[in-house]
Amino acid sequence: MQSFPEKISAVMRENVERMKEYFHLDKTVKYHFFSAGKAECCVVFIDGMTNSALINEYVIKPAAQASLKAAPEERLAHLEKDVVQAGETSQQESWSELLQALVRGDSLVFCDGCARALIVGSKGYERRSISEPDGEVVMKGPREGLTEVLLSNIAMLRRKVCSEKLRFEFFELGETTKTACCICYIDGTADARVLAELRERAGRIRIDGVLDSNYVTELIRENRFSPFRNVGTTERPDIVAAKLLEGRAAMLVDGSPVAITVPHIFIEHLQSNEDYYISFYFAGINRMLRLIGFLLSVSIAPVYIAMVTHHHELLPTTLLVMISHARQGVPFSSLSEALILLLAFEVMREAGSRMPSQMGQTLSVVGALVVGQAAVAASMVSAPMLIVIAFSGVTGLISPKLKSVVIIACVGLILMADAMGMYGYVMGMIWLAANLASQRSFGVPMLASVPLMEAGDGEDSFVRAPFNRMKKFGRFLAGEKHGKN
Amino acid sequence: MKEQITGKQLAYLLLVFLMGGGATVGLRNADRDSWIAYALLMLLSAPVLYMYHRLAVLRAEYAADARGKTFERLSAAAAGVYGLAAVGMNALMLDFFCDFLSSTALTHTSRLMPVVFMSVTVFILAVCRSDAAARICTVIFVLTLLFAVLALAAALPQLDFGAVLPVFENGVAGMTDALFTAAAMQLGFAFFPVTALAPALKGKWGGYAVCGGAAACLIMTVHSARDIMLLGYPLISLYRFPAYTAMEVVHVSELTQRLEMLTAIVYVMCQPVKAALCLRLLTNAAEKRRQGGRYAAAAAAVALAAGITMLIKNVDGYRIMRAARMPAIILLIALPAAYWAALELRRLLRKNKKTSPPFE
Amino acid sequence: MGRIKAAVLLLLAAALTLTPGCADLNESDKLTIVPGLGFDREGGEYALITEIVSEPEAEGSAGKPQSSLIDSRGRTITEAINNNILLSGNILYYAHVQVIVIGREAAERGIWEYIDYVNGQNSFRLMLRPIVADGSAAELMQAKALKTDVSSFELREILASNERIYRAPDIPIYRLANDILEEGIEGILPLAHIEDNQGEPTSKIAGTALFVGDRLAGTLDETETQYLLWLRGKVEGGTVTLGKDVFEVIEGKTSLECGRNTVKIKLSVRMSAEEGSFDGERTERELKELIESDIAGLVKKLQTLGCDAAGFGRRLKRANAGEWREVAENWREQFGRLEVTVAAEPSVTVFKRTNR
Repeated sequence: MQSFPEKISAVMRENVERMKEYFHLDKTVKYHFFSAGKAECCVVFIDGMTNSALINEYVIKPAAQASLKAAPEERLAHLEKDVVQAGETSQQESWSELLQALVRGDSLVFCDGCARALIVGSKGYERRSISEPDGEVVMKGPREGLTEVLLSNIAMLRRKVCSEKLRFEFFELGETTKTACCICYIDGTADARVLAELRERAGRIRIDGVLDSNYVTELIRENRFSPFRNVGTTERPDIVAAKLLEGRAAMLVDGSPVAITVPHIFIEHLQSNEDYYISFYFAGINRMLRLIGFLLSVSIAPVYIAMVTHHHELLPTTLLVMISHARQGVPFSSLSEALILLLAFEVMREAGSRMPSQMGQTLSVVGALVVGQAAVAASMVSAPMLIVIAFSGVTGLISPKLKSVVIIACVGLILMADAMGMYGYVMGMIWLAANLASQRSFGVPMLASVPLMEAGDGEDSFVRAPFNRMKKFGRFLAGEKHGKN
Repeated sequence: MKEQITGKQLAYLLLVFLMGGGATVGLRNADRDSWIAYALLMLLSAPVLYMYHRLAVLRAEYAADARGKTFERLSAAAAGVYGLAAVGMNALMLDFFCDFLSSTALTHTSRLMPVVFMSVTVFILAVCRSDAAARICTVIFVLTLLFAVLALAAALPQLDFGAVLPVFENGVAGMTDALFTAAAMQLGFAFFPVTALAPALKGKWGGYAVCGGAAACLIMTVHSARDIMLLGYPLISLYRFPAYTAMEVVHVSELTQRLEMLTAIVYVMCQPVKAALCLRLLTNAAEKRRQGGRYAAAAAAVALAAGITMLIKNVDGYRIMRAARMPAIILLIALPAAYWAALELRRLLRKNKKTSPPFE
Repeated sequence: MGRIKAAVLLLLAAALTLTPGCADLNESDKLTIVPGLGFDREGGEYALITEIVSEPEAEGSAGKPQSSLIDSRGRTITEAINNNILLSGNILYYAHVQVIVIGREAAERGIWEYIDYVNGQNSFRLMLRPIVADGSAAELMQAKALKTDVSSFELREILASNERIYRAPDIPIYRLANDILEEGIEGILPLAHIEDNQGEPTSKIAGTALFVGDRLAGTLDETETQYLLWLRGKVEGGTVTLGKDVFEVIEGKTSLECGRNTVKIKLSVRMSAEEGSFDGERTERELKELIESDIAGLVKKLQTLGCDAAGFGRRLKRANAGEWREVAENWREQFGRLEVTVAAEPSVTVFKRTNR
């Protein structure tokens, strides 16, 4: 802040000249001079960030009609209390604080002869309307989604949890962006240790800018190199509210519609908020499907490779004859075939998620015909392998949260299966399970609440128990059991 | 956060430990009466496991009271000796595992591959926290139990129930031999998981330990009987891996063939658990001396075991096992029993001292 | 330090997973699947005939599997098996061998060596079916198969379908091995012949080959086979023909009381009238006489051969180990001297669509 001293001057013109010099090419900074009785005042605001109607009606108009007190030391107080009709006002003499307020969308009122300026809350910028997030669509249930504005997200949360125990703690992250962030929790339900840990980790963040909650996610998570998420993210306020009720803490970041929830354990990868909005039978079936889909997507390709390279005796004779004939003329080994097809599938998936929808139809036909039909007909890949990889890819999309795990685990297990057959696959699964079992998310073990891992907590894991059967609050993190672990 | 496992998880661990190793694929020279050996082992396991449990509890009390460095030095020495026994057991198990792989599926693969893979798995399981290990073992327990039940159910139509008769046709020698081997190599080594995991257990867990052991022995009895009923005696005595071979003849449908691969998978899952639990005593001791010491201790133990396994490539592991039976019984059952007796006596004496009126 | 550790791990992982293990890695198209083997003895040599699955005529996987036969010889079984690799291009894969055909002469000289070979090789499955050919194994394997072109598959399917009609026993090799090794029971195997089916020689499996120890001692025809299978334990199939009337077995039970000198066979069997008429008690009486005399005839034949194929000795052993020990040494002779009484209790029900 080379151009600005620590405090403002009492001469209004001097302050305004200083600002004009600093923002001289910036046409969005507006200066409006007016007289309030005998005092010369100037209101400074940034066009596009402020609600101009508020400034006109409740700042300029009453001020222009009022006559301020003659004594300079009382002038500003009079302006603040009796003239300006705004709910949020404060007096400030520090240039840094004033400029901060200006860039956030507040208006500054400089009054000649006053050693302080008035900050009037007048934020009024364009914001996206509330809509259902694309990545978390439900067929039945609330369709609100979080937006980029922190305050409106907080308002949505408050509407869902109308309790005075819902607490918010504000702080800033990012040296340059000074992004407003907020930790939310329900007092008495949330685990104190998790909260303390969260505050401490957030406090340790040193970064120049935070543009999205993912910046925060990566900086506060443990096990940075693990493909399993241990910090949850969501764009839906109902999910955030549900997690708060379960005893978790959430963090909202201004400018990002994605909220962070901690702790995040493995079973949450398989849960969806829709499970609570449909009958528990259907919810149970869906959950089991997700689990089975995850296991299948990770296992089917390695098991197939193990069987066709090492354990031919496990296949029925006719199937082996069919596979053997299908592979005639294929120049690649089974391992290479699998990896090439996996790569092709991932490329198509990634391309599919980025391209405009008009091209979607054409490209999917191209993908199916070219890769599928022509490659098999030309004996570049064998039909059984193509079927296996396609099935593996499709089942992997059942739980989108586990996408990164599936890709990494699938490739790793394919390599292990190629090395030592089924034994390699089994050992690879043990390594994966050991990695998962050793991880913790903010102190809670990742495999908490998986049935048998901890007896008695099966009510909301692979199936969803009916609400009247769930234990107190149907919540598992809150209270004694896990808090003390 | 403190590591803590529940009594139930200990029961699961013990079941996997006792059942998963040799019992899954079977031991050579199976006799018609081997199943009786396992039934007797069930009776024997209850007092032995309870004794291990009491030993752990009393030892913790003693450690709390003990003054001076003598106790610590003795403990460290004991940990070293038992740690070496665990490493030896590890090497023997690796040897059996490699033999098994070479005889069955991976005949041309060099020994180094399975040794390395298995060693890495054992290392990972030995250094992870007790509760993480318990969680993994719970999954393995479920799979093992499922396999045991399904294998029995699938084999039912083919069982020739009279094949276990006549009992003791050739005298009790075969059965006592099998009992001796099982008591030394399976029950005796249960000393390691119980002692290593005792600090993480709270409350009354003796009952769980006994139940886990009894359940494992029951399953082993039933499976041993099933193997004989499937293959018949004397055929079963010809095979190196009788339980594995017995599974081969179970016919479920035309689509499923060579079901013995399931046996092999259960074996592959349970072996590293057994090896890792044996090594935990060593890693716990190392962790107490220095934070993070368990990694070095586990790595050293695993490397040593791997080295021994490669060295005994041409030696018949079965002969080594038979030779090691007596030392194992002494080290793992007799000595702990003596120690336990001494600690119980000490406790009894202290109680008497406390209740007698003070003479001031 | 962390980077070095990661680099070492990555290198190790790459080296371990991408290079070795190839020793046991066989792509399925590099394998030649062997569904069946046939053994004959010619002179002092083993004549082996191996059937392999070859590529189909049609493109892709829609074609029917075809088969070819490879002849090879050797002074030992291993030599004969190794010699046939010289004729085939790919690795011969024996894990899917379904049947092993043993020629008559080879069976008379002893089949234990074949069983021992299969038992010792981990690749062979213990559920494969040995078959004795009434002639040479080569002839049987060259006979035309009706449904597929692979005669071994066909032979296996014939054996499987025999489960309902009891014309030939279905004995996996491990069962045969135990029967040979165990005292008090002898091994049996299905017997296969060549028959003329519309001008083409076709394989037919009917009847039993009886073994004393591991040598072929005699054969049984289809009816005798059925009774033998009843005596061995399962009475769930078969037919009894009384003149023009045919009765099919639904279920039944055999109980044997085996003593040192006497054997009491009690058989209760429920049948349904298949063909012809059923005249109530008179028919049942006639059936009883027929079954009892047929079974007595079978036992007499077995006693003449000294072949305890029904397992009387084993039953005695299981029931009374003490008595068994006294006669175990010369059970074969003792078996010939046993007094066998048969009591059959047939009962007939009508399950037909028509009334009579």
